[in-house]
Amino acid sequence: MREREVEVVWRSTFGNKSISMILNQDRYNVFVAVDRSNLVCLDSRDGSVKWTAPSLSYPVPSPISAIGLGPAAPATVFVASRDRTVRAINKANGQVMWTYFTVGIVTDAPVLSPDGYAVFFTDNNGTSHVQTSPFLMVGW
Amino acid sequence: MCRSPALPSYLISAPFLPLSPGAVHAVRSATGDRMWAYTPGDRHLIWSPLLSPDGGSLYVMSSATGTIYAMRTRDGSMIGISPGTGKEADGEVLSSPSLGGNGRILYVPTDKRSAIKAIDTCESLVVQHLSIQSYFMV
Repeated sequence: MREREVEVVWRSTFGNKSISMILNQDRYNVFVAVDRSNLVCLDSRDGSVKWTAPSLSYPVPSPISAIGLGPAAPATVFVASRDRTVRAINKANGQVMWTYFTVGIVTDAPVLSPDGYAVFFTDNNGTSHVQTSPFLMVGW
Repeated sequence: MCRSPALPSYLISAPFLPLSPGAVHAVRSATGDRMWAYTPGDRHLIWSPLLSPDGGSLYVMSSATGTIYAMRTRDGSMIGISPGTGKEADGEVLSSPSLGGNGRILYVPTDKRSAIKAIDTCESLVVQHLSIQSYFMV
């Protein structure tokens, strides 16, 4: 396979470490989970910040995106956080639509059913691990 | 839905907090209402759950034993359990499992002899250990 040179189109800098990101299926939004603070939505075309979801603590890697079916789609991003919550966030403006509280810590990204109707996730006693879940890129 | 208040992030790892028994949660995506929750009695549930291609089955893994729990997504009822034999025998589970294209064979990467364990989800049997030479080195 031939090597090709790649070019940095844009660069966006945050105050804290970025721990994961996902490209939305519409290809115009990039969601970045930033350690110890927020979920940030960027415009994939120029890297500008569209919104920052408030008061998220320790989001886990790989927020997921609704896939265009079901009652919640395509307007929602689901984000697990180490503060023992899973949140549904409006893609358009970053507002938290609902918050689900767990006893244990949700250490990995929720998954969405194929029809978009249900979200599944596990909580545990805080077991940690190094590897991160693969990003879910729908329609890529 | 559990209504307990959110905890400050600095308390997350505090030792006096109750440990979770480890549960699988199904929540309505539109409202956040709980559909069901299943507690298998395993505190070491890790990785994102894995959905079958038709969305009818959900697979959840334990990091401590390698046990895989299979349940129905509609109500959380148990389909079956593929018991692991622990880290000593099976090795540590390295990553989230994956389903083969036909949705029947579940592939579980472990660090024991750098193997991938293939499990027939219809029979709950380990059908093959696929050895690889080393970790994926870059």
